[in-house]
Amino acid sequence: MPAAKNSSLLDPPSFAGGVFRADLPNGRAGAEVTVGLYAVKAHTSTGADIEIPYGRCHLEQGGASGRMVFCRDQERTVTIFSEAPGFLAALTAAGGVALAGPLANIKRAQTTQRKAAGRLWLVAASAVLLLLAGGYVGLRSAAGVAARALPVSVDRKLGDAAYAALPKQGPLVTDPVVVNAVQDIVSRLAVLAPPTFTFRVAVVDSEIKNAFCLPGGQIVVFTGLLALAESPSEVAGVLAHEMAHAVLRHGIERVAQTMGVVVAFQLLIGDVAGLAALGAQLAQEGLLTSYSRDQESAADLHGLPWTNDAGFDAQALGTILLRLDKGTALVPSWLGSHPEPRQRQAAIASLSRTLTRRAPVVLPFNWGEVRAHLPRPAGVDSKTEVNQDAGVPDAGEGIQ
Amino acid sequence: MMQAQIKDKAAFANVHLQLQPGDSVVAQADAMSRMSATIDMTTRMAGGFFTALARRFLGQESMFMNTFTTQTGGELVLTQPTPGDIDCVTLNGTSLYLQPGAFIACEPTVALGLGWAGLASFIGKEGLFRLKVSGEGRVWFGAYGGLVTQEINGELLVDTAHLVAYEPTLRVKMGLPGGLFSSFLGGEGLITRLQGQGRAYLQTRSIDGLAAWTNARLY
Repeated sequence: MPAAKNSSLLDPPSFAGGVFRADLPNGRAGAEVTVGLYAVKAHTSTGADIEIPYGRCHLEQGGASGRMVFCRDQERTVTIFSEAPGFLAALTAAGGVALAGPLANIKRAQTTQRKAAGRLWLVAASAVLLLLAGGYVGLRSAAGVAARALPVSVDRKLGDAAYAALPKQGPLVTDPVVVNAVQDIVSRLAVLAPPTFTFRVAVVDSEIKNAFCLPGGQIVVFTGLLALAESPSEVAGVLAHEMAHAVLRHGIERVAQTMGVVVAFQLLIGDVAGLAALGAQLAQEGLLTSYSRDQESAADLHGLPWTNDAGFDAQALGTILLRLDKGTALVPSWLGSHPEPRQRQAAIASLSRTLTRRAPVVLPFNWGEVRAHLPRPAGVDSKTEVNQDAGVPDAGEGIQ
Repeated sequence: MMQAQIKDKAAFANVHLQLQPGDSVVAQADAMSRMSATIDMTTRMAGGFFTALARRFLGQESMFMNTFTTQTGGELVLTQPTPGDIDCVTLNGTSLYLQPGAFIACEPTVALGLGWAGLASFIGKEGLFRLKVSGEGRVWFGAYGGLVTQEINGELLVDTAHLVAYEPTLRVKMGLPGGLFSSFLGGEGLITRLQGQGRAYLQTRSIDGLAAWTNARLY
């Protein structure tokens, strides 16, 4: 719709609009509407000139856009209208006292209309947000339930595939002193876990101070963690926590949740072809992205009784967590995706006190000797920083 | 002036156009039923890529339009996918809003645009935008069932599925015909309130009604 043409007293402003009058073809015509000194005038595309003096003009606002202004004569036989920007302002300027009342009514109606439209948008936006949030939460929880219903063999296949595809971050340690000691700790914990899980462990020579357990039971322990641990109980605490993630099936749950949301989104935008390619990628990424705070806490609570029942010191997990935390930036607990280490240590200490103490385990190895056999012996501090979040840098999952 | 005749009214209406040399007509993609070999057809996106995209996804119309021209004259027959009537409106500087799927063809002097239909229209499953035809020239549009022209000066309540086209001078509001329960239990669903002065074109049947009737017998 063109805006008003430049105007002066001799050349009043004109706007694109139309007119209703019974004697016009079809009873209506498009027109150039002019806001004159004393009247609003219309020059139709069929050549007719029609005018309504301001004193006889009844104003209304409406039309499909809600912004169209209608000037009707008192008998309602002629209507001149326009929704061009500036038409109402021109009428206000030219109509003077004659149009003051009707114009005030229109402005009041406009204000009410704007407020109603604002409320409608607010309600619509809130509804869409609620729908999206509800859909997201519903989909994730449904995917989690579906994942837990799958047989454990699916976890093993996924975990093994991910293990084969993962960069190992270092050579496998083959020194029997180290490997047998770690295997011994894992075996003592594994007998306490459900028999459907078969745990296997690999020790990797890397400065990373961490360990992780893939779905199905494949554990990877980095020598950085073994060097940091001052007792077998600390290693057992970490391993029990990681094994608990596998038993609680957190990995496959996250894959299903991530895939569920992405698949729903892909279907929404109609990209069915992209789904297959995405599925393979997500299966790997989903296993390696961080667990949620709830999952971390659940793994702590689930793994702690195993550590205790195997005869290890259950509180040792809290000790090594605090040692890992040294030198790292403090983040408020509500901001982090993991429980804050001190809170975790307090929770671990609290739960440990409720557990029935077992006879201390008698191990067939000496921890000092095991550490001395590490390719990077204890006390030789690495130059790399402690990797809190990852079993493998940038992507992995560990005890945090 | 190009001769036009609507034949086989009302159930199976189709538009017969006698094109003279130099005449042309713009039609919805898939509207052509038959044409003389002397007529050339070119397909193009309606008003640029983004406008065409908006027409498709926001206005529920095809992205493409066909333009029919001839150097020597010929006959072109246009129709619509559903059985029903077709009407012709001559715009003389006026405009008309068309509900999704109603547009069939227009003379090249008619401007095709999209107008904001509002959230209420979206909720009523009629899309966020609707086709706006304006300028000078003839526009052909169709309906499912018969077509009724209704001159409004005040207010008229219409079942949303029966509205085909209306002038922009009319305010369109969606609402319930009665209370929440009586509206839906009574089978009326949403209704459209047409307020103000102007003309509306209504169809005597609705595709939604046919679909519901058919579905009820499939299971």
